[in-house]
Amino acid sequence: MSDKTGRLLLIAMVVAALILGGGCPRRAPGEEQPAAVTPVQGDTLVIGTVAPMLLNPILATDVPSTTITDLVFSGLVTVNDRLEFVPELAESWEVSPDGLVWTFHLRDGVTWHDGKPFTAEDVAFTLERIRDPHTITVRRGDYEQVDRWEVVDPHTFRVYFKEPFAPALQAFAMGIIPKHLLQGVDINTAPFNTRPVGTGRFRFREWKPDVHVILDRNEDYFKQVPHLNSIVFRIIPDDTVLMEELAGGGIDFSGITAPHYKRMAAVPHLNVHRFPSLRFQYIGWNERLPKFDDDRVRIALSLALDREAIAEAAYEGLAVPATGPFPLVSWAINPAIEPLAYDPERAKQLLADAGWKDTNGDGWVDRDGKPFEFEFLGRAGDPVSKMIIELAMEYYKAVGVKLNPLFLEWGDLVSRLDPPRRAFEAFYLGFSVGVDPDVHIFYHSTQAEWGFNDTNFQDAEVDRLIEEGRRTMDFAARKQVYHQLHQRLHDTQPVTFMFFIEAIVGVDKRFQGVTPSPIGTLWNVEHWWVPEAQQKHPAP
Amino acid sequence: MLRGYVARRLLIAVPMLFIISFLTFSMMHLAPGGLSAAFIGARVRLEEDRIAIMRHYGFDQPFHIRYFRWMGRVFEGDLGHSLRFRRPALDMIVERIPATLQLTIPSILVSVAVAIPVGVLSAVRQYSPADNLATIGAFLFVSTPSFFLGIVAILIFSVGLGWLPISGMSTFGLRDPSTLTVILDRLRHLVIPGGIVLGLGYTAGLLRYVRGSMLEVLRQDYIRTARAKGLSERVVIYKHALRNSLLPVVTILGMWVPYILGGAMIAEVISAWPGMGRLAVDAVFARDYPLVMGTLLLAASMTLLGNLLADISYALLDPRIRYE
Repeated sequence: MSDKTGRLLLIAMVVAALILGGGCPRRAPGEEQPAAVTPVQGDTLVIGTVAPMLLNPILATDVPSTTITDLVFSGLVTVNDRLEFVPELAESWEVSPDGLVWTFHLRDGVTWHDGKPFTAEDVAFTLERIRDPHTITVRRGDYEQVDRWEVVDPHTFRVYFKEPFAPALQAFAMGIIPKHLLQGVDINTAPFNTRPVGTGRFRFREWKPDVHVILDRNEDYFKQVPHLNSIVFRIIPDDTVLMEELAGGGIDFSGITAPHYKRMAAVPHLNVHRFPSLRFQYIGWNERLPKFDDDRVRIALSLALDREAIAEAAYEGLAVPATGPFPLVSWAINPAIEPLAYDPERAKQLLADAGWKDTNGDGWVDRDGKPFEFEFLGRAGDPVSKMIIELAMEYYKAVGVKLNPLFLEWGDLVSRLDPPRRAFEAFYLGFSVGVDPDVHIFYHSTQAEWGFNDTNFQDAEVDRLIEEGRRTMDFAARKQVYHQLHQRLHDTQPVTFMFFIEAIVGVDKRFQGVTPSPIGTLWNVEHWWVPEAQQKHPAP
Repeated sequence: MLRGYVARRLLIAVPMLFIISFLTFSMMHLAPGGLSAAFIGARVRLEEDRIAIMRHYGFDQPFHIRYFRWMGRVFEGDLGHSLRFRRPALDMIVERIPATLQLTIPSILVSVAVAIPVGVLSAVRQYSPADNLATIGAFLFVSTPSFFLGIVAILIFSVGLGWLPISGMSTFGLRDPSTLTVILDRLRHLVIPGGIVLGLGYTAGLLRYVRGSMLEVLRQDYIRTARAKGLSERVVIYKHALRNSLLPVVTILGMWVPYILGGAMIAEVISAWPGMGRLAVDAVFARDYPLVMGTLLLAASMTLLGNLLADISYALLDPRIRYE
């Protein structure tokens, strides 16, 4: 990293504490391996997963596909375990003093997996394809702030922003796709999407639909060449069977769902890691309805829930109550903010202040002769969200508010939240937050009509702080802005901040160098290795 | 004559397929969820993106236009592209045929091979201990949900005893990939999905039909006549009774024809078998309508074909039935 702003951003991303959940031993990245042990090449990592959809980084949205494209493709930058942006295809970058022009210096001598050279033309091509209205992608919004770009020379790429944009690097972690293979091809249906060619750590070998995807080590990778020969993604749709395969050694690595945690932790050949993830869960209240368009009511609805007890019951304790939309490891967290404690008495008081009192003695609070009741949407087929909604029903009953649960399939649920319908009263949902704390798309008032501000939250102070956070390039100043924003979000409760979920993964003990991070377990898979005596799969 | 009958039945199949496809297309259209399901795990944020996507998939057109466009493409051999995988639905269906046949054909053959002799034995020795055992077994396996049978079998035979693989179609990284070991490995993988999850249910159901039908036949006058003529019991049962008692069984087998290509969702999901059932059911849940319509068209054709085959077999087996 050569320039000042890059360095600032890098420091900016330093994370408070990584070791929150596990108690499992963990090595700081870059720390030396024990002296006598040198990593050796060989062996195959077998990963259990549900089926991927398509292996193109600008089109894929499902977790299995993006897990694979993260290995096959590289971005200009990547994210390390401290949520810092570090060089990948770009060796360095600099920002103009006005914050509008970002210049990326690309690595020399990088080749695509088919041997063709990688250049700035490929970067320009990737951005063109994302911008092209013909391309069916959900990523266009990530580049809204980009005005134009320019290929200065084969190894220099320049991006011009419409206004200073501090979160810019996040969008440049996107995998770059090869111009020479995709030019003049309909990218939506290109066969490329099933046999991708990237510049990443692993190269694609084979995809047998519903059976497996196989990747091999990229011998020409420009950073650490992986020690493992191959990675096999075995497609196993049933969760119980997946867990039995993990316990039985049929797969080496898989995510573990909360109900299986205790049993998997006892399997002798597995290292089970738990670590805070970027997965954020919340309750949205439709503030287009008068009853939810009142800070007191939303705060009361947050206070009425005992989130510690809910986390214990529904997530086996593998969830941490959230104070806002920022993960615990984020620098944006204001350390002075305590989670709202369970306080049904204060909740009742706040409801009464807002005019909601039980005037007819039927046990439900009412206003203008109507009881306080609402329809609560949850995702069908998800036992955890079902349990949470059932618990919430009891907690709300205790403060006289009636919750009517309704469980919908994902597509159905999303179509009710999406504009122009917005046909909901309240819902329980989660998403993975970005590495950068910019929350413009979720809480800025301009995002209420068409964006992800589904609940129509409107607050001038929150708008102002979000805008300032985007504009402020100086890290220390930017951090202060987010601390103020965090406080304001906490005070107004645009949504009820529920949890950050802990991720649990099991990895066969023969793999060395496994250090899970909030961005995933495979982030440093090129450093994983297996001692020769324990290698299970000989080279093909 | 039979040939004319078959030709007429095939002609009737064409409007039938039209009606079935229209009804399914309408149901998919009425089901809530729509396009958002095509982006599992993500949501479309920009309004212009939403409009572009709707237009790309033709969702900006009225229902009947979409149906006739789809129909028109089907006649050109194009089932459209899966919304989620963005691959031709036809390719995705075709590539699942081999795995599907390897699962369904052996399980149906084994079921028939077991159910017919056991069913006959059950009927001939009605209320004997062997009959009671077969009856209890049949009721047990007919009434146990197959996903439960599958998980229990995996826990006992794979996890507990270690005799069988937990899931998959073959062992990854088989040390000695000779033809024989590959076939044996495939058979080992087939035991739970094909033998237990599918086979036990098929066998149990068919066994009850064979037993019932055989009992019915054994009460007929011509059997009494055969016995009165002094024919040996073996000849009475195998020459006179069995052939007639199998007529209803042919109907059942005809009803099974769609399973051969339609796959078996539960067995495929539990054993991670890459078959057609998984493809079809996932497509329904994701509202992946080109894929749903493609798998459905296949299933409907197979059902019509199965019915036709059953009717033709009647004619061949039963001299009383003649088709004009």
